[in-house]
Amino acid sequence: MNILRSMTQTLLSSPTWQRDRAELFSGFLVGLTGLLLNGLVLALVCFVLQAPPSLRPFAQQMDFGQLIAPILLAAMVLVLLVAIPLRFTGLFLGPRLFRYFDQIVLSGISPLRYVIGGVAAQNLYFLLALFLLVPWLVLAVVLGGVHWPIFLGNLLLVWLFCMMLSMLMVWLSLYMPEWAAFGVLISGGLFCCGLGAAPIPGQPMVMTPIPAVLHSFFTVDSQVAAGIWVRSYGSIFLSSAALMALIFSGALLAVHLGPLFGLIRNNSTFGEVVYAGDSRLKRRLRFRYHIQRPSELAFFYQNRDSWLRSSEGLIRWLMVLLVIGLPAAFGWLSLHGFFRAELSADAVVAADPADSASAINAATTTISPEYVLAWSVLSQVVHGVTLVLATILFSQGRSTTFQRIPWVAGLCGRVSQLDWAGFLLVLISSSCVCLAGSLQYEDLFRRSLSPEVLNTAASHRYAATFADLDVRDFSMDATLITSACGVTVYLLQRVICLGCWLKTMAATFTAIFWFFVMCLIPMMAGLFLDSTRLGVLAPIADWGEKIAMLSPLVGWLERFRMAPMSFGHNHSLAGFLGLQVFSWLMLTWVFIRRSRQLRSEVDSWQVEVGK
Amino acid sequence: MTTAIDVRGVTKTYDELTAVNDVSLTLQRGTVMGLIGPNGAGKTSLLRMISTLSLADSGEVLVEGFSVRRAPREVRRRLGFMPAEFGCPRGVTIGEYLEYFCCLYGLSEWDRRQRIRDVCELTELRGREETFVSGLSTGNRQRLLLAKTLLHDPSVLILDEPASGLDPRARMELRAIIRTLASLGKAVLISSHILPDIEDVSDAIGIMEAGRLVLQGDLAQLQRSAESTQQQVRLRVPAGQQEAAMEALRRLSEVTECRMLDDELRVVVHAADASCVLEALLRERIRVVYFAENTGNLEEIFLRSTAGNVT
Repeated sequence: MNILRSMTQTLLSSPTWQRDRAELFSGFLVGLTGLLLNGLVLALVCFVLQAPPSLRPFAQQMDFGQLIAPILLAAMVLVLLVAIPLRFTGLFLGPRLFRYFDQIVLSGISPLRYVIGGVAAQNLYFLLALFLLVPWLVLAVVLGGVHWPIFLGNLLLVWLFCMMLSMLMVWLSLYMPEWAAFGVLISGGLFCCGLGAAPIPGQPMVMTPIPAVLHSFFTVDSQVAAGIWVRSYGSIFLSSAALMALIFSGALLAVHLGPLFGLIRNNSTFGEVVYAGDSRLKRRLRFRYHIQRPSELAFFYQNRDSWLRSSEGLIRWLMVLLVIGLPAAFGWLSLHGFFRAELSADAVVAADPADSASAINAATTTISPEYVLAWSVLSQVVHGVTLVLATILFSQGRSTTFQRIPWVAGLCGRVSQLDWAGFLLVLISSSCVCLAGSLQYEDLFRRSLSPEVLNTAASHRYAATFADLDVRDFSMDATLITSACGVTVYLLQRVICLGCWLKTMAATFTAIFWFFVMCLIPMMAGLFLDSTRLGVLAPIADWGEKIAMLSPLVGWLERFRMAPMSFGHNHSLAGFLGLQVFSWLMLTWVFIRRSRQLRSEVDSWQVEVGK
Repeated sequence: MTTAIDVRGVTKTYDELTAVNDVSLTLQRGTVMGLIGPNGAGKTSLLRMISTLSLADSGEVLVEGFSVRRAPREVRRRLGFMPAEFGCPRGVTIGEYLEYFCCLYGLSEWDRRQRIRDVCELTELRGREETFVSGLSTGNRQRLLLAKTLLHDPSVLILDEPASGLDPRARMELRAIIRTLASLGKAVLISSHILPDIEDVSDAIGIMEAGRLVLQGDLAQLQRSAESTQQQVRLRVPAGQQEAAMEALRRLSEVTECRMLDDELRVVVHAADASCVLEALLRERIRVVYFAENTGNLEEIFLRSTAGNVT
């Protein structure tokens, strides 16, 4: 009871709760919300009544009352998706523009207590939206068809969505200007809601309540639903609630921990901190327009409660792993779901479903060699994107890299060490998943490439090139190229980060350098030599292919059978790997050399400020 | 008496500009210290460092024994900072403004009402809680800022230009409030350009110029300190003897400056007293019509101890 009372007291004594509560019941806000909600409900009703042919089988089997309940909730989701982030756009920028941010800092309020009131006040906004929909709800009840347990379950999810949006907006606001956070959240939310409304097998977009809200709509026709909607309402509800609660908690933790690893040195250029005398250009080159002065940045570290501070490093590290792991898992599961569904669908069409062995045989014999290519390319894309994410998230600007922070139970260490460990973990696990996935599918692909299949697919343009393909080697080579590039890019990023205040700036330099120097130049030079067998270049023309193969782009294209026919297949990767290993050694040497001075500078600064 | 603010050798630079250069000062509880200096002298930078809003490059600042580096949150609990510029949320009344800051300080609902009533009483804003802040005059805004600063009952007050924009009556009232606060045992550090106010209300005065604290102490100490180094003399001689008088005075090694201003000769003398000026003029048989030594008020001490340099 005491904890509950203290939590309530914390929420009610938050200044943002007071301000939000005072502003909520203005005529403008109530009117605008009512207008938006009712307009959206009407638009959705009209859309469903004039349903496109693909939706007609569902719409025709539902009563009007049954249709309205999910429409109301969907409209509410869309309005909340826009209104909640919009209501948070002035959380930090407002005090800054109206020149009382310093006063907030000096009050000693913790960042979490400052923002939590605003988040809690969104409950009032949620209730307002619900209240404005009451007439429609009464209509739905009168017409019949509202299944109360499902409706209330969905309402709970919409509330969770509202809370998650609020916390996410605050979290994003720590890393980018509020208008950018607003844009990111709206576009991301619309994308997820759009995909959530599509009848995708497995329905992965459970971070919005849309799949649960539309579940009754898509499952009304059991025959149609069988092929596309395999999950029960209970499973969607639970996964939705769990994921939204997880994201909310993660964002809450992130707000507690602050946007950086801790206070950093006051940079004069392209850094986090702006002084009164700094030029406009310098100010504009900041990502956080609203949190940039020393006192504003200090607010997130000096005023926070001691809660979890001793394990800050571990918590941050795990959170970054989660931020990388969630989209990676989503990518792999989607890929897996897509290929499984495709193979099953082919099997269902081609064979007797009662006989599973026959079904698998049928499936494998209907697969074209393009499956191999599609699987390999897509799995390498997921692997590559995961490594790029890890490279950006596990590298820091020059003032943060060697900062000492408490890792766990007060034990201190450098951010850099956590970054190395994190990247290695992601590299190893992503490579393993990539290889395991390839091996899992290998059997099916191998059978799909039997001579019979190749005969039947003789007209296919890839058929001939796939005849000599060893699927296992094919996938392993592609994974090897991606992983090796991942290591090179990461080392390059870490080295460039030592000279850059912003890691995003370093990432841009890294991308440009890697693409032009490591990819484009060997490729262009090699292909030019290979194609020019005249004059003085003739004696070295044979080196063309070898030089081109130094480029990972050519390596991928060659392994994916996308290189020119004259280029041939199954070139050795020795040159490429040799160059990568040489780059690793060079970059490691440069990193060690350049890090010595920076490390001592950061140490002396941290001692100076008493950290 | 207990030390409320202890500043030890603080330096602050912004790129190549040294805003505060090796400044040390102490302030006891129950006393008022006035900080004066020309624009750009480094007063606000010093106040911001004491208030934990910026970090010193070197040196140490202790507030009530807590270091602003190592325990900024502890310092903030004990400190009330009234900034030079007024900032507030949009569209709020005086009551809502004070309520907002009470929430920031984490006061309970009961305490909030009590404190708002008390500070409104002290700053004479009682009965005007429903007035919109945007419609307040400069003087009332300053009162409101002061009221806000007092909400959490801080033991150390830092007031940056509290009297700017106030009419004479409001300034008198502000001085009375500051004296009351000091009598309640609070340490008050004020920065201001209005020297008579500082002279009237302060127990100690610090004069800053170009980032340095050039003089520090109570008024009597400042006078002695200023006198011991240099004297400023105003004298009048007949029109025909002005050139000769200037020439005679410039020959004196003690005289560092001699110029004509409004038919008066202004002479700066580096000596314990200005008798050498009179002796030299009498020696040259120059008739002295008027002779006055500038000593005493803060304005003169300030002018004498500063050269108008800014950082």
